[in-house]
Amino acid sequence: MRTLGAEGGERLALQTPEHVALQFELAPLGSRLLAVCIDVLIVFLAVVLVTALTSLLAGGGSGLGDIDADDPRLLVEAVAQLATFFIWNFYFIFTELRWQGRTIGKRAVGIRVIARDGGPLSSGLVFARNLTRDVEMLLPLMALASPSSIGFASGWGLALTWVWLGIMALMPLFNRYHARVGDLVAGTLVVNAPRETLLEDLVADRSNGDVATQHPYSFTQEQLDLYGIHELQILEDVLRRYPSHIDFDLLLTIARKIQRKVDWHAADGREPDAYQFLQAFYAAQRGRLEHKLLFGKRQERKVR
Amino acid sequence: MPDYTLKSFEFRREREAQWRELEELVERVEKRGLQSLGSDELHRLPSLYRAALSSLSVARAISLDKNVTAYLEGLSARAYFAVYCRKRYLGSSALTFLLETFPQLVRGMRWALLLAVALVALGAAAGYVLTAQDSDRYFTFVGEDMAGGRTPAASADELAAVLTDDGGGTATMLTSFAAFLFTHNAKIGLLCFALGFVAGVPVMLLLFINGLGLGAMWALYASHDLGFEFFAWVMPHGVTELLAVCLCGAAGLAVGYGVVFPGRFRRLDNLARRGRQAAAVAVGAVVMFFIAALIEGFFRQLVYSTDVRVLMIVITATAWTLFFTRVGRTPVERLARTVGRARRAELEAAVREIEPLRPAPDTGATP
Repeated sequence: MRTLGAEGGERLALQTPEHVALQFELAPLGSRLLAVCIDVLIVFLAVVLVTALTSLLAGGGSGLGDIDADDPRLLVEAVAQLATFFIWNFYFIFTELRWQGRTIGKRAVGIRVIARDGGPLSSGLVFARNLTRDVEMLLPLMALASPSSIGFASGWGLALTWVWLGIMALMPLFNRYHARVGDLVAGTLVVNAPRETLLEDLVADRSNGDVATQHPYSFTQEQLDLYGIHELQILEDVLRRYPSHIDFDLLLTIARKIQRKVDWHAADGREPDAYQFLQAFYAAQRGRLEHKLLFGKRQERKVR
Repeated sequence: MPDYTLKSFEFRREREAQWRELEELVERVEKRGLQSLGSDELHRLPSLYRAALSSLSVARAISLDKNVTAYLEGLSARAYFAVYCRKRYLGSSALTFLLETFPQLVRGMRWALLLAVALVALGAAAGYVLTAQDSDRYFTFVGEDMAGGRTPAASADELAAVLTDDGGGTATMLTSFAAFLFTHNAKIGLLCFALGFVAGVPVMLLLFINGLGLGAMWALYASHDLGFEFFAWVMPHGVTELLAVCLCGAAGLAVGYGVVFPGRFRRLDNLARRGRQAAAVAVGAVVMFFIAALIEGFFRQLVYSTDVRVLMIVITATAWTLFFTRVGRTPVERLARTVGRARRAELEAAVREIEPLRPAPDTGATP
């Protein structure tokens, strides 16, 4: 099941065994690129570190003399070769198994791997999505660096190889899941790791934690029937962003607009404090809309 | 003013403590794994998770607080992963993998394996015949760096010397040689698997080309009456190494087959199904490459007796045959042994029949 989210980001629903559909947002390609860059950097640093350490342990050997059969530099080379192979091929596998689909780079960016069928990330699946990295990343990069290294130096062979490598590397652009080849082979998706914090309820009165019904401003039912859920939640956003992201002038503009629209006038004729007014209006509006919701009327948009 | 009691507010006030508790547990599971929870907390986790899910359902129905629904959506998803995506201990699962899953999977793709072996054999035969006819073709099949002095121009003595070359002889030299062999071969093997994605065509080519090189070299030695010595030189590790190459190839072919013939599954789903199994086989093959490199790097360079080398061939061939036919049998395979060969096909067909119906452990419906 695939639905388009309200923000335009691609959303996917995943049915839990308890029959509740959980919503996930596909990770944007930029985040994935950033995550893989971080991971490749870590791999690179790890390889350099291992090589440096072994050459230290092997006792320097920085001279460029003849290499005889007992030269420790040979051992260093062997260790470095093995380390490169294992770190490059198993870093992603190990971290994704260890932290359930989140390599260090993915954790930093806030994305994670999930199985397309919602199942657990088994080892076979993690192997599959990571063992194809050579073909997807390394080969195209090598081909870019030196075309002769891929076997065809010129002619049709080279052109075909380029097309083929291009398709492999750019696969995420060609399918609706933004899946790379490894994702297709393993049946996985990369999604944004959800991390929403629970903020204070806007209708709560901060002094005693109770619902704020004693506002100095009151509204009639007709005034509250004009706006819908969409507008309510925009107002929620605005109130949550004040004062860090939104200045008071904007609040004032919004408050005046609402007052004009619902034809509301202060009882004492003085202009109310914009924030207090909007908070009171939000509480009353949400109460009204939720009340309607209970009776099966879901008013999505404003009336006019 | 009509006084609306905000049900969503009450709802949140009643349940918020539970959400916070779950959030704290999930946070710890994400950071340090399930084992970081005490037994009481472990007990609470599933019920808190279900409570959060029910909160989510209620919130979607009655609450218009966007922050609360988004929070519950995220919390439920994180708790879902913490509860259902169990983390196995890497050490013990590695052992089960090598001794049970790996041979089982290999048995499951025996036809692909046979095809891979046939392709290498075909390549070797072609390489042998073509080189025997015209020794100039040798360089078409064997790269300059691979040949290493073993050229058609070399004398029989020179060729024989390679067979007993100790590669420097010291432990240092041998270790670095083994490391080189391992990484080189394992890379080719993994490439074999990864290329299977494109209907398996590049895999077939790669297997065939590998066979060509082997056959050409054989023809070169055979032309100097060193055919048997060459066999005894290449096969002690070759049994393991070629088998591993064929396994990677078989894995690639199985993936390709999954793409071309999806059967009752959707193409993408079948690709995922096959891909997971094939990748596991490829990782098992990496372990085999490691063993092969040890044999090639040390045994071959230290033991020159043709008799002992032949003994090694027999030992490795028998060991792998037994390993892949006997080790880690599934209940179905054990049962099939007792009911006999005739019923076996029937039994396997029945298992295949129910496989798509059986839900994967701990998973919900497909999205």
